[in-house]
Amino acid sequence: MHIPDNYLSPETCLVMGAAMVPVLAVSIRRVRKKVQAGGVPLIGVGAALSFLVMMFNIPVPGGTTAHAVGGTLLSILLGPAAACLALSAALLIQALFFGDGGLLALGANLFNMAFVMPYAGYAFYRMLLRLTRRNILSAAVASWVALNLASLFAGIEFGVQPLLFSDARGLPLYAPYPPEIAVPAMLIPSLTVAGAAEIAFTAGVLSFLKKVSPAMLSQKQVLPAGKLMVALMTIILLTPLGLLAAADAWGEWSRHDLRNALGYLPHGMAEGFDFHAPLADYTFSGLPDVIGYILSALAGTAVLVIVFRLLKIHKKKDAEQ
Amino acid sequence: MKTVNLPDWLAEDEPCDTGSGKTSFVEKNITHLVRSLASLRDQRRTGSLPEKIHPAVKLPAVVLLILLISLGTAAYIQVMSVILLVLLSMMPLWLLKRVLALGLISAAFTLLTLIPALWFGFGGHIFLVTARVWLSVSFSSLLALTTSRHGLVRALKIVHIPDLVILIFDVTLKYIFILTEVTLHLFYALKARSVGSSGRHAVWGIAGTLFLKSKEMAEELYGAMVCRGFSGTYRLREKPAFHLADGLCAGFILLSVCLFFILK
Repeated sequence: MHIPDNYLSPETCLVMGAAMVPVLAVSIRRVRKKVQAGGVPLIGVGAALSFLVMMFNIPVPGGTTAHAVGGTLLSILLGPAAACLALSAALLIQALFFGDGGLLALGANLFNMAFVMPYAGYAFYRMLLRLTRRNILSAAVASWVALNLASLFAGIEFGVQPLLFSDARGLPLYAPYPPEIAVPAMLIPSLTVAGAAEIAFTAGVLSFLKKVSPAMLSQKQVLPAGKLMVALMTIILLTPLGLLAAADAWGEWSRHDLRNALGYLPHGMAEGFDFHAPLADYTFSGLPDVIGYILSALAGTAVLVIVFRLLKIHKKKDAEQ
Repeated sequence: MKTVNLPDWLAEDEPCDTGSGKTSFVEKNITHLVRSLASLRDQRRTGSLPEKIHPAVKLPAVVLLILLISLGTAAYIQVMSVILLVLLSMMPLWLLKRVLALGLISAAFTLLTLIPALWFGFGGHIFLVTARVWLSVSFSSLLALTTSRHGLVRALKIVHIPDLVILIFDVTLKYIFILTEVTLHLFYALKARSVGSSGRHAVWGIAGTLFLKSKEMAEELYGAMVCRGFSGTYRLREKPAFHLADGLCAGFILLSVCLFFILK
């Protein structure tokens, strides 16, 4: 679901980026007000968790791949505002270091995955919880709905490009597929494989936490740091499983692949913004892909933990003032 | 009744300048000195893992690491960066903050100095050089921040550094602290003496006095050391005990060396 650079027009990127500014500002203010200083590193762990989950690619019939995001799970565990910040941090690091999702398109990716998913997921979860009184079932359904909603938004963003931006010959300047192709292409994997992965992930983690630390679900107690580290390390070591499906996801092709598929390259994409991430595609030169994947997972997790541990200091300073 | 004549220098008029902010010169220096004294005294010991590694293991380890980092390929630098990030994420917060600040400031400075190379078209390795600086400074600041002065001197002795070098190193470290304190006192005196004036004119006096004072102290120190039977050689009293942290550090170095040759 990570939209790369040049698939969306700069104008769309600007609008989506501008839309995210107030969302992030409100989320930061809410987190500052509600979360205790000790809870800030936990947001980092949440960010690391969703970063790792997004590395598990699952094959989708038709040759593309999809992955879970964990937005609803994070919003249930940390609250939607904290989940929004955690997902934003994870997406920023993916774009900056690993070239997963574009830098210009970051606003759009944040909108779909860090705003729509956690906030909508949380709203659905609360609503379903009131109706059913069963939290794991509500979380599972809410996570599926939220993932599909985010996919729908991504599909619409892709789909409006050829309608809004075309050159003198009528050829699209950016993403070439109209809504009637883009929306189903984004939604079909989400409704099926990615949706199932999101449900499995959300329900799995929640039932594990219900067993290990039931108080955490009622936001009273934090999971012990040792257990968290063991859980993160296990997931990190498992990330190479994501390599089993190494094909590009829909809408994440390279320029070369797109040229082969279409027979031409849209003008705006050929001369667009080009950012080379230092560890593009989670690979290290001279190392096997599996090791590269594990090292990328380690690096991403470490950066997120460091950033949120440093934020804890500022949180404390705020509390003192 | 006995009368006392004021000495000439006391009878002189001092120009009083209060409003322009120039007076802050002495104040600024005092604050700065107090801060550096505090950081020199601040020998925080929190019992974290890097503090437990024996300096005699840590010092050669860091020297070797810096050597490997400066010779390593781009892939090696990438892997070492990941390892450093993981190590940092597990450090105590105060250490994490300071190592990160030192490393990032040096990296940013390096990048700044290398920008002209980019301009002239030699910018191919600009990020690699920056990453090397970041890694070297971070590892050496990890060593410096987690090792006490005595520990470092002992480590130098264990790795057979000549006694003369150890003596210079030891005395330098000790006297940085003492001379900072003397300078602070000189600034306090200047502040008391020059009410209202900026005190800038007295900087040369402070420097001169400091020089005279240090010469005097060096002679006293040497005399005292000779009196106590110092013959120019350092002797180790106890054998260093082996700790699990030393094993971990040795393992880490071994891994880094292996990686260096694998990624050659």
